[in-house]
Amino acid sequence: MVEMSTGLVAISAAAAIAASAFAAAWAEKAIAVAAIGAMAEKEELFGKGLILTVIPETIVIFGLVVAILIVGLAG
Amino acid sequence: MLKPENMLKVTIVGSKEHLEQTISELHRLKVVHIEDHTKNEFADIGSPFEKASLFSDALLKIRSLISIFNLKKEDAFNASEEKLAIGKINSKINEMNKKYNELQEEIKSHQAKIMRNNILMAELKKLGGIHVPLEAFSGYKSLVYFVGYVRDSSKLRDSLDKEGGNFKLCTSEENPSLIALFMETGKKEKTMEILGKSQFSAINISVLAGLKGTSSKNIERLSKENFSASNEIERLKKEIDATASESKSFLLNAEDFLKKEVEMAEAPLRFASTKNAFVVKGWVPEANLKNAIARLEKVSKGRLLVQFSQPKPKDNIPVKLQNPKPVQPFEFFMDLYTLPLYKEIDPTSLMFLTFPLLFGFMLGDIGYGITTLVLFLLLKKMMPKLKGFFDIMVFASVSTIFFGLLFGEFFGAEEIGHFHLPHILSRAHDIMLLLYIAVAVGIIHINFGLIIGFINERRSHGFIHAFCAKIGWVVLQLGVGLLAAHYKSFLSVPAYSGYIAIALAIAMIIKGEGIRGAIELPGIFSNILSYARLMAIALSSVMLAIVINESALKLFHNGILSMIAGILILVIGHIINLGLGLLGSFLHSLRLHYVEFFTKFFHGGGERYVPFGL
Repeated sequence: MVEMSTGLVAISAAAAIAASAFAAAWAEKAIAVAAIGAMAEKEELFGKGLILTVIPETIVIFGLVVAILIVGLAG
Repeated sequence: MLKPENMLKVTIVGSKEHLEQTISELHRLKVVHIEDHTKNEFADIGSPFEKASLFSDALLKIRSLISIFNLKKEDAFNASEEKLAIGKINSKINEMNKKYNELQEEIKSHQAKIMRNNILMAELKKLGGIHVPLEAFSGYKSLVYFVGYVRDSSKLRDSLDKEGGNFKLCTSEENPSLIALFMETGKKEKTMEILGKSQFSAINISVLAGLKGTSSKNIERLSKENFSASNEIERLKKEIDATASESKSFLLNAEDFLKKEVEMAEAPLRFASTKNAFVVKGWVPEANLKNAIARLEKVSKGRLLVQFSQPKPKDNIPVKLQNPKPVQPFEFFMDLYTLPLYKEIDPTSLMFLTFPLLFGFMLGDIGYGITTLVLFLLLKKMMPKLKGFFDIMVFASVSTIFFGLLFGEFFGAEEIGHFHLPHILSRAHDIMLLLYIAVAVGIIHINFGLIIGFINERRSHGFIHAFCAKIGWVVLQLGVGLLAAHYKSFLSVPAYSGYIAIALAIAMIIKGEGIRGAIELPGIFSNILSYARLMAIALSSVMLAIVINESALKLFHNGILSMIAGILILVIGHIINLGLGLLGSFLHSLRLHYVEFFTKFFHGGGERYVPFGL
């Protein structure tokens, strides 16, 4: 039987990832729509569009770092 | 390397009588990047040669033919040097257009015939069950007839019998509710009343007027007609295809020729021009200079004034990247993003060094590396057009194998059979260490970027500005590092040293980059932390591989069927994981360069060097 506290640690780590992944996806969705629209007009904007689209991806990396810290700090 | 090719500004002045030969010589030279002239108080733009409209007219027609015939330029297409004459081209195009239109007309008339016959056949099929010759449905003096559907034909017959009189009622064999009723003219009113009671709905048989014989005979005849018509259409289409392939090389060559001619004929629009003289301004790579001067002097017999000068700081200088051969494929990334400015450091060779490293760190697996290496070498052979891109991926695959050796992984497994692969770092187990390494890579990469930024800024804005704007960020990291060392007690440094460094850094950044820089202060740390993705993607790739291996291995000991299932899981699983890994590693390595690395030094927005005539 896993202890209650271990389960809570796992759940909080999962929550950190889930929430940040959702946030990143939401943010990227809006940017990607605009970027694809811009690319339809002018194909050279691919590079700029890609960069703008992946900027929010850092959010989920932060979520991952937080999750690792939660697991690490709880030992 | 690190610097675009040296450009010199060229100004060519001549009198208008030499305009045409100057243009054609420039077109042959293919080294002068012409700077378009905008109308000002000194000189208007030139006007195109009269033949321009003639050429562009023919070009338009040729392009429409090329698109109708769906012709594509293959790689092997060689523009022939044969001289084409505009008159000959025009007459040939007109001839081809005429022939094409005639064939199209014929096809259309056959198609219309098929459509008409189909309608007829549908009607005939309806009447097929009623055995009345078709000529019976024509105009009579003493007879009327009705064709259509009723609810119940036997009831109708009864009521007609009751009414009396001469009539003939035929019902269809296939569909008893379809009838044809012939009645003497005198009873027309009464019959219509009876039919109305039987809910009669008439069908229109006027399309059949003029047909003779039974419907089945007619259907047979019409199908034969349709068959020969569609054969005819096939033949005509083949004839069009044959014309297309026959005239392919002529059309493509003519297009090539006319494109060049139009370009030359319209070139004066890009020059400054007065009543009697013209001025061409442009750029020539330093390496091509001597040859260009000699050729222009020769063609003009000394009647042209050709001047060269070093670029001035405000000039908009076109950029031609200059890199050693192995680095050249990586110019693709600059095309995708934006070209560097002429004075900036060209980061292509830096990407050549770091892109495969970051990619390899993320995918890092001997098995995956060998697979992708073979795959991209094959693809390079099969698709020579994308050679540059596949070259990049070959470098990345080699780096993947290298990191695979460091991590001791073969398709996610750390041991093959009972042989334990030696490793420096096990990605599946030393997760925290992997995170530290990733962040350390980030610190190195970003500070490297800042140092290049310092060099760039020093060139364009001077030492003090460059020092404050770029080195300020390095000091900021140092300050935060000192603080961390103090509070986590790695080193015995006083806390105030950290605070002083941070304060100094903030002052430098505000001086160098203004308030905007101060707002961005935390950005540098999110940039560094962003490199944690190196660990995240590496980990997800190796963990997926381990899961695939374990679930397949479990199936290996329960008989032949489950073994096949295991092999399937292994193959499909690793293909999917490899696909995800390739995509993830490529995009994230690219993103780390574009977003985290480039923003430290790169402005971009350089104009591409496009020599006239190419």
